[in-house]
Amino acid sequence: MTRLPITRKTMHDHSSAAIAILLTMIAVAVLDLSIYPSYHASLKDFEIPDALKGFLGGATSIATPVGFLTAEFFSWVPLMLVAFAIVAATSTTAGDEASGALDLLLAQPVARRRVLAEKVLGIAALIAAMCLLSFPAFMVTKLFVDFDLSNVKILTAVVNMIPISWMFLGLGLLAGVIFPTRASALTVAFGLMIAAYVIFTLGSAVEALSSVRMASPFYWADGSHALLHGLPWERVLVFLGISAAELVAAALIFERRDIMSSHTWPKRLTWARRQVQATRP
Amino acid sequence: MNVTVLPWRAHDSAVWQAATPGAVHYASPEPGAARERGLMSDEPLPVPISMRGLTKVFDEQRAVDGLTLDLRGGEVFGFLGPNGAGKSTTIRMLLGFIRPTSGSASIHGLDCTRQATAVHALTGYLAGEVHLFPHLTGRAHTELVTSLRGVHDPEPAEELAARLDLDLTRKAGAYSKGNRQKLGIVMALIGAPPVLLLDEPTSGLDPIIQHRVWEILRERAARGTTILFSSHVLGEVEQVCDRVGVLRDGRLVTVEPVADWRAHQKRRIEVTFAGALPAPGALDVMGVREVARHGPTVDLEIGDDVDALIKALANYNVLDLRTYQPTLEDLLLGYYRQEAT
Repeated sequence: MTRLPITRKTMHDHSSAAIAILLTMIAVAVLDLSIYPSYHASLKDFEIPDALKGFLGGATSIATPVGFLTAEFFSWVPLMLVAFAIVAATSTTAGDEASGALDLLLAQPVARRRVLAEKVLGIAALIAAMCLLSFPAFMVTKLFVDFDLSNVKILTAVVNMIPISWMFLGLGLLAGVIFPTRASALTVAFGLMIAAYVIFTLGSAVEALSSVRMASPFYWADGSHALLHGLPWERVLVFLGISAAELVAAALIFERRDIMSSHTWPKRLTWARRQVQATRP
Repeated sequence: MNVTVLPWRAHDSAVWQAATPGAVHYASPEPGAARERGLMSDEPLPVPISMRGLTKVFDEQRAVDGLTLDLRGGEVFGFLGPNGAGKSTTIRMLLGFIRPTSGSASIHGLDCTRQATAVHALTGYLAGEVHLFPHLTGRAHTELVTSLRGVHDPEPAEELAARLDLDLTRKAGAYSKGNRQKLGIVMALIGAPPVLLLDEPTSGLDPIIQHRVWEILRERAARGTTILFSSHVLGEVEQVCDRVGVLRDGRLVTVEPVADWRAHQKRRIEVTFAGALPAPGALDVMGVREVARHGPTVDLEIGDDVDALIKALANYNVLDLRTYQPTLEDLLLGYYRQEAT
């Protein structure tokens, strides 16, 4: 008997996308560290426009290793991981339900919450694996180039990408069990992700957004903070707490609601339309 | 309450034992034999499948309306009805996938909504449309189900696949509809669950494999498995089932043993004459009724006894004679007529 068969299956389902993202992360890490020595002299006097300062996080200059790595890697790689988390989470709930494949798992003697938990575990493990496996690329490249930043700090920043990705994994999961189709779940989750990212990046330059910048999760997961000050444990714990709350909420909703088949799906859409109509004045 | 727990494979899980405190447990899928061997308590056995006023309303539409029905141990029950009659919705309520709007359903005494996980340990399910994971092989599917059901021996699944001529090494994405259906059947039978809920199990299968599936189901029923078998093919239900229930617009129109069912079913016979046609009503002998005539052909409706008709036809020059089994539509029309009168 295989242990955690649904987790293993979930990891297998999303392994291609995870490998593609990991290879991108490794390639970008190698490229960033390789070009830094030839660029940092010319970047020394470069004044980054205000509109782009958000990408530097807490770093003062793009010419420093911290600023360079924040702008070139830690400003956008988390976005890729978060997008992966949302896509994978919605596909394992709303996606499998719409296709009818969820029936196959739910007809077995395992509680719905276990199905959900095993799926989450699989995706969460892939996210952690992608982050951790990208670290050796930094470590090895540093052996050949002059990049004055300790491995521990880089590892800290790499690990710092995991909690925010897990938080959006929880959001995708929640959207997947609430909304009637995968498309609507994706729209809502991606909408929130993009809004949060825009607020974070433009908030430093746009006056109107500066006051709400702290509401963005990307602000609290800023890679430069981890590179400069180490792992922000209190922030990590908050992210983990939110992720756990999302998972519990998703499990409670998933336990209680009807599971539709491809036959009954149109009825659920009708139900959703009625809910929307009911909210109109 | 003194309870004897001697589980068979499908019950061999902590889930089943934890979820059913105080329930009377079967020692084998053959309650009668188990009772004789003294392996069970003296309390009445829970009905394998029981529905009481089961109702589901979707968006003001009553998909299932006040269904009350008990299935006996080892019975193959044919659930007949056109598409949209409520067959699949009923099965999904039995699995706890859908919560009833009102009423209740239980399997071996376990509430299908509140104790769904324990119900699943006793139930093999085949969906009306089998959806698989396209990137997994057939064997990966059976291994997944085997693992989730806590079954340790993969051999029976392999044997079943061999009986159905199913290649488990291929990826499910490359399977034809027939092969998907075969894999769905194999997965439903893994762990020999004492209850099978099969939604149109032979849909998309060729006639030879259909017969093998019927054979497998009869074997399971002989070992005490209770089978709820939905279909819209009358002939299939007649071949396999002990009792038949007809569902229309979510309501159970009739429930009767297949033998009784056959007795009052009318077949249709088309007789084409070479010469003069019989006078209207001339063929209305013993259980035969003329329903239409077009050109040289007369349509007749007939019960079990064809002898009187053959003798009546001997007086005419018959060019061709064709018999038709009634379709589900014919049957439902019959019930509409009955209700109207």
